[in-house]
Amino acid sequence: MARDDEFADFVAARYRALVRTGLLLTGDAGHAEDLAQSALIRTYLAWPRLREPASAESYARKVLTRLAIRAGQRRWRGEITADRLPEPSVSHPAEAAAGDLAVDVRRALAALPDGQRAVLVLRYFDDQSEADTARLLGISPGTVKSRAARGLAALRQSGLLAHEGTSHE
Amino acid sequence: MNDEQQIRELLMTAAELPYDPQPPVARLLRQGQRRRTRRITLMAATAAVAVLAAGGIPATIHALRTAPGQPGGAGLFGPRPAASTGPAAAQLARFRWSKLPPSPTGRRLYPVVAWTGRELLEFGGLIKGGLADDGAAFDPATGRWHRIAGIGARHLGFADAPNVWTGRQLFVSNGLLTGLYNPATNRWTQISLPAPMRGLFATAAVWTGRDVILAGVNVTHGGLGVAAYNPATGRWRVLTPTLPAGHRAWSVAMTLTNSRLILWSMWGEKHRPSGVDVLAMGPDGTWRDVTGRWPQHRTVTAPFFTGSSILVSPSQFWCGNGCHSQSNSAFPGYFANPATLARTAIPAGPIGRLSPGYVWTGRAILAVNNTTEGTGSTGGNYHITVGPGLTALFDNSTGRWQSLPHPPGYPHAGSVAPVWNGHELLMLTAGGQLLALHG
Repeated sequence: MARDDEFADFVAARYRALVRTGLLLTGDAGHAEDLAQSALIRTYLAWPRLREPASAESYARKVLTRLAIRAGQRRWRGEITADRLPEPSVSHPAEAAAGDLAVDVRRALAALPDGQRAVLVLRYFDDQSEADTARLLGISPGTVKSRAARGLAALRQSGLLAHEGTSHE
Repeated sequence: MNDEQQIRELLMTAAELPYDPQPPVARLLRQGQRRRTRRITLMAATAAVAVLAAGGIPATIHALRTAPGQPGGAGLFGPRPAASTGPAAAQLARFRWSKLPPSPTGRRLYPVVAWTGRELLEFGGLIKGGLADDGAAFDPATGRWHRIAGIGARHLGFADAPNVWTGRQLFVSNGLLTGLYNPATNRWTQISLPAPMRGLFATAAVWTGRDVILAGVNVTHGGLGVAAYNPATGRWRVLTPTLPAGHRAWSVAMTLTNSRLILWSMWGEKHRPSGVDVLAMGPDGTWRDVTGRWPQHRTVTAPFFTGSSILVSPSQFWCGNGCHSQSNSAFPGYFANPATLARTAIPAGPIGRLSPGYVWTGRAILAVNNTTEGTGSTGGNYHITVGPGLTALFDNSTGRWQSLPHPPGYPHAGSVAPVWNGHELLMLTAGGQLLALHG
């Protein structure tokens, strides 16, 4: 069936990217895979009306983001999974630092309100425009701007972003 | 660095996955199909209840038809035809042979034989005096043959050449001659190969739904060429992968799964061990070496993607160029997992040791012998024990083989060309006789 083949190609090409977005939205790789798969099944059901791969991608991201927000409202996110043990026995210092930074960023994102987190991920990771982010989240472009500003301010306060006017090494 | 640049970098770091998640394509498809079926059933029930409640007569609910698939597809891979489900093995076991009208082209060896979805096409092949430049088409619905045009290439032609049906045209290439035959216009169009493919001997072709992928090898020095041809634009794109140093390809097999093209490059070098490199290409045209623990000393014969597994026919010992003395050591066929390439052996069947070809019917395997096997070759008392066309059925669900009746006229001399058309096996013999195994 052409529909199934097209969908299979789409999943093969975009699954990892969706899981990465899910990881930023949820802080947990397993949960991110669950969300990506749920979003893809809904995309499969909507496939006949998604006329181009770009539309399918946009639809899958929209569903993924909404599912993440909905799940976030139901779920306690006090734990953020780490890729490595807190005190790795043998590790390259630069690698360990990168891993710690990844966990810190996920932890800081998890501490943000769902709406702010979604805006930061869609705007700065998925490279969506303000208008597209607004459309995806069903909010106004003005709300996108204010949530992005508040999210960035929170990250600045957590020390992950350099304060305005200072350089970040 | 401003806030935006900083946050982008931080998010990229935080999105690094601790492992490489494998897309669960088959599972998602199964779940999606189940949900779609549930949804359609629910809609039908709701509509029926509404009609009954309104006191009307239930009518055909046209809205319940699923919308057709949309054209497109990312990268090299476009929409492909559905995998056929086919009759169950129990039904196939009751199939019997019939003689159909013989081909008007007569006796020949190794013609190109293909199923278009409506007709069986036969073209070229070896005849006395060289390569034939004629062909014919058989329509099972009318039971009639009609002749088709020749390609008109002087001194060139096709015999057992790689070919694929693209949905509208038959693509055939042997490296020296490449053509597209359009049954609607009964015309051939000759195609030039891109420079890196010229002079190569074409050994495999697959259709991706958008492009024909053609692979060829240099028969004199070894070496591989792969290119994609888009019949809609008439353009080639060279896709030759880099093989490990010193691995000169002498033969290539390919198949296309749901998400990638798998290519087996059988390589060899004089005075050096030889083996099989396995490469996979994704929709974006990027190759990856996936050889892993793939067996290194057996050929990969006629790999075919069934929709869930790769079916590989029984194969022979592979030890590179010039290793003919051991070529009759047959290995059984197997299924390979399209994602991991893990193999599950199919037990040897009842029709001889000489590598029968496997034909996938959608739910079972028909093994068709294509060569003559016998005893007592000296003194004129040759006794044929296994002839071409002898067929057996493998029921995938029970893991058992069953011999099928002998085809009429058994044993035939020469080769046979079997084609599954979705509900019957059509087999053209070297003598031009067309046989059908059907229910």
